[in-house]
Amino acid sequence: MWAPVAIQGSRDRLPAVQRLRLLLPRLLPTVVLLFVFAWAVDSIIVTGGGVLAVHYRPLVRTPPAVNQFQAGDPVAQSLITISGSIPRRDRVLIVWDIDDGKTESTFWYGFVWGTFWLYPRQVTVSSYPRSAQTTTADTVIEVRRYGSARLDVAAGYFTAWEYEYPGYPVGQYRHNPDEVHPPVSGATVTVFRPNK
Amino acid sequence: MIDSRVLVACLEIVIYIALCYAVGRVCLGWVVRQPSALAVAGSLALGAAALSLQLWGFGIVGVPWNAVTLLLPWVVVGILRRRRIVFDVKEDLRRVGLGARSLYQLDRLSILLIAMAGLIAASYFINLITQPLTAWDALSMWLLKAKHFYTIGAVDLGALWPVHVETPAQAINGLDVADLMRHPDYPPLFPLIVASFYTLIGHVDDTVGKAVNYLFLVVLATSAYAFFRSILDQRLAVTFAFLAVAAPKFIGVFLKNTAGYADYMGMADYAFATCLFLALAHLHTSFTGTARKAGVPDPSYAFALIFAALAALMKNEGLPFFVIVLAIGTVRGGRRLRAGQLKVPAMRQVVPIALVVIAVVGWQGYIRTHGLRSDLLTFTHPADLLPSLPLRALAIAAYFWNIHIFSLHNDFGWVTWSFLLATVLLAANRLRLGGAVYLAVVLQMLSYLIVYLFTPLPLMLHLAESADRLILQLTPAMLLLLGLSLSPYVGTRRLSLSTEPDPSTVSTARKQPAQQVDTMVR
Repeated sequence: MWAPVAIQGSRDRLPAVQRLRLLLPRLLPTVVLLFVFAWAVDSIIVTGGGVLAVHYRPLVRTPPAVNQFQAGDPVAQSLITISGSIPRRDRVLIVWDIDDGKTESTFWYGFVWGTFWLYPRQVTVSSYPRSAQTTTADTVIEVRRYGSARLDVAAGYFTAWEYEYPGYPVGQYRHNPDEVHPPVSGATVTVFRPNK
Repeated sequence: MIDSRVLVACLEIVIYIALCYAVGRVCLGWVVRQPSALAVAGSLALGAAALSLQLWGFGIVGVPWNAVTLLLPWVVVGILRRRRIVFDVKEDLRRVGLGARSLYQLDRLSILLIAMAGLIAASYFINLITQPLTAWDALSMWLLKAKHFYTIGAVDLGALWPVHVETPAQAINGLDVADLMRHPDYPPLFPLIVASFYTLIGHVDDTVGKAVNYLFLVVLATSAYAFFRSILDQRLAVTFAFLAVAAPKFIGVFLKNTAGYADYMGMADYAFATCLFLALAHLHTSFTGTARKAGVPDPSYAFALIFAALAALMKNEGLPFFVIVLAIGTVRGGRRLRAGQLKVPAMRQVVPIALVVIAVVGWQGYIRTHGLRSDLLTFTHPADLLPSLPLRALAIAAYFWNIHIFSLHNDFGWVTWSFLLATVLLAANRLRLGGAVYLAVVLQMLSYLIVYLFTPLPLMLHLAESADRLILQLTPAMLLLLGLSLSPYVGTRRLSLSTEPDPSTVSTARKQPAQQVDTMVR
């Protein structure tokens, strides 16, 4: 192991700046070396703590897809569930009308989640309920506040499914009654109004 | 009992990494006959990039994307060059064997660090595969593009943009929020790497797809050890490699639900950081290499350029970095030309450089011709911001002060102090070793500052959403600077510190580094 070496000569007579110049070349590498080992110790504590905080048993005993389904909030879960029930070539309108004081962020959350989980369908995201009256999409999905009125969809659409999650009822309306598939349900989906 | 789908996913990732190694090793063997340990460690990333660029090319000429078309060319090359490949793999296995044998000579600290790194890496592996995908950027940008590219079998955003949005709040400072959420201009390499994984397994798996980041963990850990072992003693090399795996800054990339850490699973920042590290390490080796003196074209600068170009294909932050590495090489080339020492690079090095540079230029051309240019270039004319620059600079400084950039109680402090200590130590050594790397890192940081100064986004919003990830990107580079700053003082054989920079180390680094780097294990 290394150790700082005593500086030869009478240091007391040297000016402070000169003493510092003599000391620095010895001190700096020592400080840097100590810093590197301290960082390693910090990494063991912090990252090791993070590693130990994970509950591995449920993770490895559950299929990744189910973990994915269970991780999201109700809206994300509903989108993953609904995704399997919509034909892949459909044009989809998502009406995201949640006016809970944080509409904008919720809307963009809906935009990102909706376009990702419903891919490869061509998705239009709207915060205007009136969009549902003029749309030509094959499927209309409505996400609304709990207790608010249902969407007034254009003529020719019918309610295929409706799910209710805490705070977020999600409705699905379809244009073509021949192409209604049940949602792919891997977990706790409550279908309370199947209505053809 | 472990779920069978988890086991299958683990197997898929392991096979994917093995295939990337095989492809990367073939490419590496073509570029250089006797690659350094650092180059071999980076061959995994080269392989992943080669498969991705191959898919890109397939999309252009209309070849369908599937496992057969993807692997067939490599199988043919493997058969044609079987003797060479067998020799290369044996050589790599010999290196690994020597490394395994040297484990018996390690001190207790090194053994502890290796054991901890192994446990952490194993935990990361399980987490990456099984944890759900929830990171905003991963969903909205990287993995959306990955499954889009895979679904249409081409690198084309035509079907994805323009997005259809009907809402009152469509713009921030004149920028389309939908584009801000999606960033269509972000480079395609990371999504293509994920898409190459989908191509091999034959379907889209968003949850497992994000685990391709594990490949870059393997690359960073092995290349960190290979590089630091060439300039430092074994204990320090192990310590730096351990930090490359376990530094708390990387927790968000590999672990979820850890208090205080952002969710970066499935994002390209770690892969970018790895390319940055590899480019800088090769840049350093190119400055200290002696292959050219032996009459052999030095491939290190070629690798530096290749990895810098891959960084530019990984994230937009790589564009200034590529220019920096190119500029450093050009200046040095100019000096050598004046001195009459400039050697023409071998065609085997020029071709891969040309391929990745064409890819970089091609992507930039594509986004500009399709109106998908970066949001950072769409708003205010830079001259309009000049009067407010001092205030903006102050605001940036205040932001970093407020996130306690110097505090060792968070992971920012370790990175910041790494840079400061390395600066002082390198300066004390008059930048005799690592000057080019230091210059490249400083210029890269300067490019970040310039982007913040001129950003058209609300400054605080931009800082809040990106500064943490920029620090993550720079963390491996800071490890590199720390290691370089210590190298003149700490020998490669033992942990010893002299009062003056060890002239033998410096001169050895200048005279014989190619041999040092080539010998991963002494």
